[in-house]
Amino acid sequence: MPQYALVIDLNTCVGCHACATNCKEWNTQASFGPLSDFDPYGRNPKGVWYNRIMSYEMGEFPNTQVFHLPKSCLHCQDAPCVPVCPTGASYKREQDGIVLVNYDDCIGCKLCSWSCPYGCREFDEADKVMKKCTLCIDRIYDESLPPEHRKPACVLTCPAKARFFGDIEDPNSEAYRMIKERNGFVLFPDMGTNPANHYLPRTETKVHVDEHLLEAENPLFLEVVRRHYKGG
Amino acid sequence: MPFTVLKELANKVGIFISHHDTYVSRLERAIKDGEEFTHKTCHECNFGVEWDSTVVPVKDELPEEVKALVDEIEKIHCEFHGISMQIDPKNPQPSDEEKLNRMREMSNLLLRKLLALKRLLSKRLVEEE
Repeated sequence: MPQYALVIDLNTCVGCHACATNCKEWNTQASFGPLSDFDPYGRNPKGVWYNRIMSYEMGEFPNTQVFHLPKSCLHCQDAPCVPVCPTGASYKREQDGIVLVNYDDCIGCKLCSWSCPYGCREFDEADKVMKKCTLCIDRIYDESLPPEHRKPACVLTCPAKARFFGDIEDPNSEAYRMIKERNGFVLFPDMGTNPANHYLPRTETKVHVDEHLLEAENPLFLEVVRRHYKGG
Repeated sequence: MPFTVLKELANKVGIFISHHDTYVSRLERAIKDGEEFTHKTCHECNFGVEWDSTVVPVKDELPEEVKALVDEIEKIHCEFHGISMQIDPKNPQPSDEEKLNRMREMSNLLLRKLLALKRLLSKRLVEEE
């Protein structure tokens, strides 16, 4: 059975938020929109975002690293948000494995957000229904678009080319190959939800610096070079 | 009862709900596809393992009304597994529909009780703060 999913390269993602911004842009105007915003330019902006980027700092100064984890619905193969829904509004499509919400049936009880261990459900306070990533289902099947554009908005916009889309059950797909070749992993495998979205792990980059470069006079330059030289 | 223990329990309620619903999702998929499913008891499933390692050790220290709710949750959870074990996805029976409905009822009840536990713990936390 096909299972469409995103594969996100954590080694390449620079946390620029372009994926989240384009996701919001596309989905607020397309079939599943609008995505409500409250006080967007104020002190405490709130709103619905299908895609959010978490940034974490690791290590201790000066050997610190920042990594970014873009997170949207993972379209789990055993999605806990589906059986918990009292009205059947939350469902998983058989033909492509995409998990969707039927807004007409959603009563906004938020049980799905309780059951999702990844916190990927977004309650729209204006519409009083639960919303979530649709894998841009209104783009990927749109035959009026050129084939190369039939991908989720976040994949098309990523300037670092850190996002891939495809059927993770199809050995000919780019997503499948990426997972196999680069040891793709899923979030919280112990939960048993079998998320469809995968992440490609970060790898440490060693930079060779010639000795004479270390004699530069700029102390900041020296510090940066030294850290790279140690692989920090 | 230390404040931190109550807080940890309150934070864990979401995980318990996730574990239980994931189990239900896997079972329902197995039933739909007629595939083999390894049933687990209420102490072997992810919910049970997590519950037995975090809630059970502190149960006797919990405030009375919280403890009563915890006992009720344990009873409902074990009853759910007792019913679900009677369903063999590879060997469907006409009586399965009734068992499934009963199983879903128990599942909904379990969910409601877990949310009630969360509310109760949150109330206690506010009082103690």
